[in-house]
Amino acid sequence: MSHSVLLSILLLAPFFGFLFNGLRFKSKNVQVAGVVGTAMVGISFICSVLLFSQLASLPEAERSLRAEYWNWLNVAGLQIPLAFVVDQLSAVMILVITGIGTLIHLFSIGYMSHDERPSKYFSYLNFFVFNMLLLVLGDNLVLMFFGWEGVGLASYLLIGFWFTDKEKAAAGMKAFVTNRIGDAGFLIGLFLLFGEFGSIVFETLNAQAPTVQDMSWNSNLTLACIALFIGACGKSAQIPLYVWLPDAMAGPTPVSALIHAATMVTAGVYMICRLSNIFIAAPNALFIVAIIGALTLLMAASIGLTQWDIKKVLAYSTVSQLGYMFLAVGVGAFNAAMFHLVTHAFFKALMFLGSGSVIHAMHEEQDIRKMGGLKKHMPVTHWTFVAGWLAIIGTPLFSGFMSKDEILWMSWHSPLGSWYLWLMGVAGAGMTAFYMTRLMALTFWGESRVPSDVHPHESPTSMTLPLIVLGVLSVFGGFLGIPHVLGKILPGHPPNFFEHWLDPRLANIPGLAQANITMEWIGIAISVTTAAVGAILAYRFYIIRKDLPEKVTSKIKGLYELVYNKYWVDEFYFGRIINPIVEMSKGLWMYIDVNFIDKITYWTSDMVKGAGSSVRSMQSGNIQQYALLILLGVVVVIFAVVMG
Amino acid sequence: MGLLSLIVFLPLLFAVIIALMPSDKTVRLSSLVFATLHFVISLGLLFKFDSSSAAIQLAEQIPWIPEIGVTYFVGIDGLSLWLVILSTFLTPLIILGSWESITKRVKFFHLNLFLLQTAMLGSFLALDAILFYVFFELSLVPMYFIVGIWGGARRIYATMKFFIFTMAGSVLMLLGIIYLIFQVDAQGGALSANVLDFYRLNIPFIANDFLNPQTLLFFAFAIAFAIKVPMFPVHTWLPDAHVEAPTAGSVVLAAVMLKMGTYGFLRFVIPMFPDAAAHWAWLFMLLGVVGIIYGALVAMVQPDMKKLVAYSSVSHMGYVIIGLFALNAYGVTGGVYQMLNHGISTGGLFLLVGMIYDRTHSREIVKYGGLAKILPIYTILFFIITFSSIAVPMTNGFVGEFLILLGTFQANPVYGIFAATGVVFGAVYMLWMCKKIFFGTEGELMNQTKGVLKDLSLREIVVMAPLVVMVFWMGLFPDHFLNWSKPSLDYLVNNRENYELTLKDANQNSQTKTALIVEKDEEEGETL
Amino acid sequence: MDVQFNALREPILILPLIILFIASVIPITLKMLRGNRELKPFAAVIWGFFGLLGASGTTFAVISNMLRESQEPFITAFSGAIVIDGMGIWISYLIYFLGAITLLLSYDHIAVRGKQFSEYLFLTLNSIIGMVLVVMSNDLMITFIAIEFMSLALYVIIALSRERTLSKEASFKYFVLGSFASAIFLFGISFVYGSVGSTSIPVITSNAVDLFNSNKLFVIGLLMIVVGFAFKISVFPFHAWTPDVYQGAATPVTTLMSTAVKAASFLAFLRIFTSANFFRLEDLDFLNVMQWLAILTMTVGNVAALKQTNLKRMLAYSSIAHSGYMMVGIISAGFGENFDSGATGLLFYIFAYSLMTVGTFALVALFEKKETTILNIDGLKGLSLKAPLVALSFAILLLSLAGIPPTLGFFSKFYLFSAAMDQGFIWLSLWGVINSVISVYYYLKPVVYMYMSEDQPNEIQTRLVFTKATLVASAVFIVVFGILSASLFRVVQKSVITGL
Repeated sequence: MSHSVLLSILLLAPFFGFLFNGLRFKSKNVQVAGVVGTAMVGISFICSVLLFSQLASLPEAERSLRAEYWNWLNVAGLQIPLAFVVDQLSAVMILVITGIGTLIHLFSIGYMSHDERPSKYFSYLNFFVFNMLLLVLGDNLVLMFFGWEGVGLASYLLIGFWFTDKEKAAAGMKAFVTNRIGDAGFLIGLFLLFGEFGSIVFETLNAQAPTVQDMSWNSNLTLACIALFIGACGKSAQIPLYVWLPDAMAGPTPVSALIHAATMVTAGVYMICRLSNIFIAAPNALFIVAIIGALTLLMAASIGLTQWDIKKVLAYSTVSQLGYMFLAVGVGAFNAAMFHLVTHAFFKALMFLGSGSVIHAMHEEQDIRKMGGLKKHMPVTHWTFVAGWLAIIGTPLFSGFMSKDEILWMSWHSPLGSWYLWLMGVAGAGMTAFYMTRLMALTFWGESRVPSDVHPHESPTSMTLPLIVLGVLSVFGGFLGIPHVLGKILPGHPPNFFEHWLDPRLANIPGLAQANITMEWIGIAISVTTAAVGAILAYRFYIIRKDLPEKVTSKIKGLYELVYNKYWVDEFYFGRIINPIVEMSKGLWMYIDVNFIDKITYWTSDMVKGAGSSVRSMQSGNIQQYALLILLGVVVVIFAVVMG
Repeated sequence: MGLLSLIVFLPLLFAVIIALMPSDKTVRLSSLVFATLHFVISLGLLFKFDSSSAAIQLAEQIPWIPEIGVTYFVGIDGLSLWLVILSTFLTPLIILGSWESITKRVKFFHLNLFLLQTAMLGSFLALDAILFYVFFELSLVPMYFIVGIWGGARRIYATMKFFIFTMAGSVLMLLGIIYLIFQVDAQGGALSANVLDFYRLNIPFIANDFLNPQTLLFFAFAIAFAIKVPMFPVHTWLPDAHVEAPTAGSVVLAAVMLKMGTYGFLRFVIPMFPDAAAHWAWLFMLLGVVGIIYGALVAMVQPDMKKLVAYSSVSHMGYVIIGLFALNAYGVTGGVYQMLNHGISTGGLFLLVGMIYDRTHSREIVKYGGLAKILPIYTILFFIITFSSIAVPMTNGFVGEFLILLGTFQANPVYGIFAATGVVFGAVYMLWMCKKIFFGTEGELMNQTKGVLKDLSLREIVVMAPLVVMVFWMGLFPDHFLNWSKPSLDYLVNNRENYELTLKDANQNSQTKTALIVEKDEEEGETL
Repeated sequence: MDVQFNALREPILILPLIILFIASVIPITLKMLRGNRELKPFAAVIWGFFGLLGASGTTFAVISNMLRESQEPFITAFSGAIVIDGMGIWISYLIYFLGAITLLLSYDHIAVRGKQFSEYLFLTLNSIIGMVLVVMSNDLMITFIAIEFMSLALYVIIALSRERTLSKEASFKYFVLGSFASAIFLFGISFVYGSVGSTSIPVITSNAVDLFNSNKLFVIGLLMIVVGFAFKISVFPFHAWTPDVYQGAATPVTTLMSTAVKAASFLAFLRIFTSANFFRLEDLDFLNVMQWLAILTMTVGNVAALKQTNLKRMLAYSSIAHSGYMMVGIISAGFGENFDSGATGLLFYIFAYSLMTVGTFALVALFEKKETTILNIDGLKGLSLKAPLVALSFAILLLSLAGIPPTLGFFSKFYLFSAAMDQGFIWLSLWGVINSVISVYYYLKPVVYMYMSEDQPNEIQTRLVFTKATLVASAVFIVVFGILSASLFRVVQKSVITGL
């Protein structure tokens, strides 16, 4: 099949699923809805694989399949075709989206089996996949924005899926509005780029990107990149716009896995990689990206240390891992960022689904203080979760290790990197190991704290199957992109397939020195040690010496409170920004509209009416007065003309 | 009688016919049939209109008051085409939408609706300034009655405010028009109120002096249209009028009447006073931006659904203004598109608010809640229109907002950045309302009306369906619509400094020289 | 036929007045012959109609023919004491027409159709004779006499209603103040005569420019003449009698006063400006005074009307405001370069205003069941439900008075302000349009009551066929002549420029 047909099917299958389930939104039949929904994404996955193989069979320089459908807009030299491109970068993304998407749809059939509105759920989920595909396939910024907003919309609908709960509806709105702040940034960046380059097509933009680095802070290029990064911050939950993601856990757990871990939240990373030539030309903007990424990863990881809600821990972990990706992007390691994106998609989707399995088994209980010892009740969930755990904490040779290590190394090694960025990354790795081990310990290990009326049980096959597949990927996925140093000692010296695949699409870091192998090994050693320390500490805290957490937290009570309350950021936003704006708006309404503009009009009309009254008082009915008025009139008229 | 005159005066004929009808039921039914027929006829424009030309087409010119150079002169070009179709498209929906909510004085209501239709179409098609003014002012009268008779509790206050505000602005324009009529005479033509003659005038402009003819004329016209749009700070009549108006009134007001203001900018202010428009563009962009943000912020804190939508109109129309005053192809095109979008989305929102109001007789947001569970179809439609209103891509709203912001960025990035914040605020107030109404636990009103509250009837779905179709059609295929207007818009943007329109002779398919001034009887025979 | 040397020429020119006079004495004579028994009102009205028809018919068939054949824009008679020109002829048509309408309204009206209808008819027709004479006069003395003739008859018919003390008071006020104004007018004439040596208007105007700059006595005299007119046409501050008198007089009489009297006075006022050079003076003070009189008049009229609760009083103030607008016409005719456009605007406005006013007072008359009925604006509430046609007609008239297109009221303002703008009176026009915005408020108030309230209205007398017909017909004409205003405008313009 030709690539344009495949692309059409790829996009239209989930769209059809959306319509199919959307139009029968009242149906409660989870089987029909789920099977159709899953099948549609499955079809997309098959198309993705076929497209990937088509792409791979092309010579490296020509690996780009483009299909154009119609001209969306054509105004005064600005042509925006509805065109989609499969190239090395988007091929990776569509595989991840549809592959993991299929698994998560499958998982959802079991997970949503008791829900009242399964059709609506699968409809939204398909809608999300459709938009995500749009986002990654669009050949220009506007089409990407289509998907960009579309996934935000799907996310909004799915977070608020159980809308009768006010909190959940509020979380959906928070997500959408925060995303919109980013979207405004995205648009601003888009307009600035268009002003600068006269195009919004990725290929043209990357081709026209200046080869000389633009070192100024206020050039259009730097500002455009910063604006686009603000967009990425919104979608990918970075400081200061990360606040929506933890709340987004209000949605059904598979949604968290698909949207808020594996795919949508990585859109920002993808976008920057798409425009890598542009960003690399603006090192100042990249610096901001790196520093924000590093700060986010630290901040989120530290919050993750203290949370009790299983999904919240995973959510902050996601924010933190996204921080890693931005750190990578910020130091110019687009490759590493994309690689971490993929491995993170594997293990984080796995862990979210695992947590879903747990929550399902625990009858919607999410507090890990009420869990423990689940290992024996749900072995598959446990063991797959272990795979994810090992991956994320950076156990050597597991997928997370491969990608994260690449990032840490590049943050040190790249001319755009520096020691403090590296140090922050390493510190983050330690914390990651701690909070993930803590999660494992409290949920699966130790003795059971499950309330007596809850009888946890292993989930059905439709739910465990995706877990197993993802577990395998989490373990072995890393071998797609083996770091160079590792490749050298591994049998057969496997090359970094991933890097090799993506390289033609991504910008090179200017002035990147030859790698110092010793340093790289030292780096690996330090990070692995740190992670190990973190993990062991957590094990000791939550399995061996259970009194310790209490003691430690009471010692550093102030700090603990600060972190436990997420640095009061939400409170700050609400108290210092949102509420003042709302109050101000009320003030604007009352003082400007009601009391100023309208008052002026009333005042004018009152004045006119007042003049009317005074004229009326002149009208006494008294004839002498009238005569006097006439006389006065005569005198004034004569005086004005004759004397004036 | 040409097609355009037919389109303008057919509603008047309908009004006369229904005035003679006996029962309310026949009045409703025949009004619907008439309005639909009218829409179908207006679609004929698409067949007769040559979309590759920027010239005035299908023109009809008959002397009217030759002594002062006033003619009955109608014509259409890319600027007015879609506005005409928008108004004819919405009228059947409005009639169907008011089917059950208007119960008293049914005949007089439809009569006013048709009279209003004539006035609106007339102002979009008139190419004689006095003719335009006549229609422009005439439109106040039926709207005055619609708000005043079928409106809410404070309807009289609102309708008076509406009438006096808008009239206060437009009288200055009348003086401006009169001045221009004599200018045509002074500059070598005969007395003429022909807009095409106005374009050719050379009106002195001095940049640093406020009291020069072009600036004064610019403001005389601009104030009239600014009030109509309405722009901040002369917008306060709008929330009152909207809140008190019956659904039909709100829809017509928002969807079509406000466009008479923005259309005025496009047809009169920008091409006639190019220097002043360019010189004062900053002011209008500033007020537009303030309107966007101010309208959105104030909308955010409204307790009344209709008032919220009304303030959102202020915000949306701010976009149109900055688009037009960006004075580049993107901005102007976006502005024109946004006019249509606003017609669809805000019209749709008012219809939807009206539908729920008919059921519960309350528009207080806090009294609602959990509606999504009770009225699923209503919820879906409401959300679709909301997404259009907050400019989600693939809906019509996005196209307009995107182009406007693009144009604004090219004109002045600072305004562009501030205008872009409207993207956020727009989402805030609309979703805030949606959250309160549809989500959460069932509200006070829902408990009171439990079991009685019914989802949309087939009639109501039929009312909304065309709007939903338009939302996506216009969002996915903007070129289907813009292609018709493109020559006119491009011409306007590129030749703003010496704008001149020609008449296109439909029969010979050739460009004829414009608008000869009909002065004496012997020339009356000539048709243009 | 050379009419110039025809011995009958001069009597023929005043033949309409003679016919009118004969018609006016017939009913009263018949009454006398029948032993002081009142005629049937219908019969009396028929006689009046004969008179009016005869007068206008003669004007149409004979006088306008004479004017046309003379090849001049005007003809004079009685040693130049009277002048016949196009403007005069059209205004006299209007006056005859308004007279006829007044008779129709009077026939229906309770206040005047009582025992003295013959006398009433006699006085009304004689007042009309006075008005036509005012229109024709070409000499200040004739103008003075004609005004007195017109006014004396009015003083009596205002007082004629027996049951209403208000009408007596109104008559008395009008009489005293009118005499005062006449005295000023006469004083002015004597000053002018003293400085020019003639009372002939053409003589005065041809010497005006020189005298204005050299002779203060002349200026003062002239201003006093202006004041005399200003009183008759209720220009501020000489307007104070208007509301009281309009309210006090029986409604048909009010109709006549606010339309025909005004039309006649305005034309006489305009006559002083006939000579194109007359006021093209360097003297800006004079222009300013005139402008301020216009602006103050419209403003005072409008703002005072805002506060009125009595419909008739409101209409009185509205009438004052419209005098202010018409002053704009006087100014642009007299001070601009183009007399014709100003005069055309003014004349058109007079036509339009008369038509609208007749209708509005007809509505008032519809409500007057007893002589003492006082119609407040809220008495109209719910009218649209009870009498839709009446309400609609009145609404149209009010919108027209407010100047909303496409009514005659809008076009008359358009022509008037066009003339002013043409002469460069932008400031004056601005005040004019601002005032029309203010006026919208009170003109729409009755509409609110009629349409937006569902209470029971005061009772109206649907059996008053003529009154109702007048109301409806004027509304129809307002719209039809609004849209087709060009034809009317053309006629008026032609009459101003070429005589006919």
